[in-house]
Amino acid sequence: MDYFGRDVSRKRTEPSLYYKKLYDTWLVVGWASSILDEPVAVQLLEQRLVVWRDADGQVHGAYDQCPHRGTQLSLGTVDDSGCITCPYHGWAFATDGQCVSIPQMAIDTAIPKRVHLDMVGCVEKYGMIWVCLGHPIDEIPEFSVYKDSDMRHVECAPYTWNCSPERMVENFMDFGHLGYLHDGLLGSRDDLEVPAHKVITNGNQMTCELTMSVPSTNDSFGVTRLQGDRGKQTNSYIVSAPYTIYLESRYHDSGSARFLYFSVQPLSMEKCIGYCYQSRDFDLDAPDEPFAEFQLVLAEQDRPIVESQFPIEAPLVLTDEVHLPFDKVAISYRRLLKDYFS
Amino acid sequence: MKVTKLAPLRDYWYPVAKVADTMPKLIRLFDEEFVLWRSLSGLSMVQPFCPHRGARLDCGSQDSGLLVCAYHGWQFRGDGSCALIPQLEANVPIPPKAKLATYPLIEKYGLVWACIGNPATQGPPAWLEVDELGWRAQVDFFEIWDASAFRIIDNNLDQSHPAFVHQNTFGDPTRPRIPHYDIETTPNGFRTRIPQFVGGVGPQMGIENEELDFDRFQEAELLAPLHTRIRLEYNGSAPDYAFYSCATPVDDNRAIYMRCSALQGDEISQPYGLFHAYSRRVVDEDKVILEATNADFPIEITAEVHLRCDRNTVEYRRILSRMARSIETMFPVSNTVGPDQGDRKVSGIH
Repeated sequence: MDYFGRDVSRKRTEPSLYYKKLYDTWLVVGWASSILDEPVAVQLLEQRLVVWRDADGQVHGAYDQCPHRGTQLSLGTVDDSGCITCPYHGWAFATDGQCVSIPQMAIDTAIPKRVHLDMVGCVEKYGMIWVCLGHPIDEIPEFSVYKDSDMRHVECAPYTWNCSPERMVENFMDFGHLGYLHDGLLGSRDDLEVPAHKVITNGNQMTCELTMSVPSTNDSFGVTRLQGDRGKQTNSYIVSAPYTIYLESRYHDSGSARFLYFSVQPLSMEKCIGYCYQSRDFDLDAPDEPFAEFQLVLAEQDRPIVESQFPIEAPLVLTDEVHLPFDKVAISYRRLLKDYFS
Repeated sequence: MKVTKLAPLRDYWYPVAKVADTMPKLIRLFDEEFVLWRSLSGLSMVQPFCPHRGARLDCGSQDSGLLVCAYHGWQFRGDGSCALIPQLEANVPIPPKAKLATYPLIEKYGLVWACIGNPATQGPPAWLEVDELGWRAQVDFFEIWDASAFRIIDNNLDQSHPAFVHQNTFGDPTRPRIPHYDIETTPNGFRTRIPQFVGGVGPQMGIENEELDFDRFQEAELLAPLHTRIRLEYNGSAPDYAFYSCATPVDDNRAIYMRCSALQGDEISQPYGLFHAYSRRVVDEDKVILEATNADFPIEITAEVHLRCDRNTVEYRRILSRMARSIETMFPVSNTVGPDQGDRKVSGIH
């Protein structure tokens, strides 16, 4: 069944076991700012989709395939009434997917009901486009400071990595590597012991708080809010299964904070794109580029390492890898995923 | 037969790197990955992934003789044991699971030889001309070819291809016939001795003129399933030489072509530069043909047409098919095939 409950007649790859739950999950597919008046092709869970915006600014999503000859509708156009037109024979489809025009048919012939696009759930929230291929069971995870007028907000570059979505998420909240792989940026190699912390799991969410010592990067990026070379920072994470993290990083020196909202689009289970929205309550007049640039530098340090990880998916059977006390977050996250997918 | 399907091949030693190579280095052998690195206690070959979060260890470094994972900085010793987990508080013992699987290595002839099965021999085959006669030895080629290891060794033993494949070096298509020869079996393979009349090979004996013809004997020996020795004897009219080849199976379709030569003459009578440049031309003629062959090598004698001059390569197929049958009698056929790595493992979800 498509999003509007109609039969999906055409053959398409059957979702794997792993995907079943993801079909009923809102997953990010791009920045809302990248969907303008042209239809845009996106990929999610190996499916080709098209996303477009109607004249009222509403976004719509469908499988990127004309029911007539399978052409990609993302190559077509959107008209003033929000209909998407196939570039091959000019068939037009309304925003509920129903075909409203077949130019080759005689004028008084009715268009059969079964000629429709297979629609998917598609909404815009927190500056991102979210798609649900099946029937959503959860809300989109909350981002409370989004568009807070006392803050400055930046969309960071999307990170496309050849890795599984859960490895990308896990890396984002892996404390042990911060000082090692991001030496001088998020920690330092002479101080790798991970401070004690608790992880609390509640339903499809887990939270964690950790206070750590971080270096000032003001010389190179000017993105920290510290008085000396080093300072304390408290990170509070809210992780929503399967792939969204909300992080508040508060500097003890100044009381200022950065907020990161990070969500991952699984193109497949072996390739994904991470979107990071960053808000800050300081340096409100400073340029945003250094903040986005800083995240990109970190991501490029992580990418080759995470892409090298084997097996590609993070083993949800905990005995398959070594876990130590400071890996509490990863252990909890894998349990969270295991519950989520079972 | 594809190389990775014949499990007993894993019990032999293969050159996987040159001792002088930059490390840590990712090694692929029988379609499995390993990391080769230089530890305090010498070279070490280990599993490719860190046991903690699966990061590939060749991304790391080998500072101060320890292999350091690039992700979280865990440090490992040459024996695979973990020396340091920087995130652990002092006094907390390192968990026993935090260790790497290691594989035996031997350094010989400037090469690193590895065995990932149950070693059938104590080390790589001995090279008579180097070990006992003290001829000048050097590694001529060490490069990956897009060809099955079987095809490379088969070509090494093949008597009738030079007349055609090597027309631009020492082959002569007007002399395609091969004299009769006998096969002498040896503990690990077989040996043949064949008289040859060839032109063009002068540069291998320090003679630049490629017009001259030579009478010689070729002694060809299969030392192990993917290792050969070829010795060329000129009855005192020119310095002799020998080649040792090994095809290290990278995967079913690729092999490292390793060839080492041993020269009887010294640098004045048999200059290596001249020898090597000529060898490169000959070997490139083989490479073109071998890279166009099918990786599935027929080991059943009935599968192909054979002539009397093909006794070497027929015997080679016999040895391989005996090897295949030996595992079929030990295990059902399906067990001789390694685990299928093509399927994505979905752990813990079913």
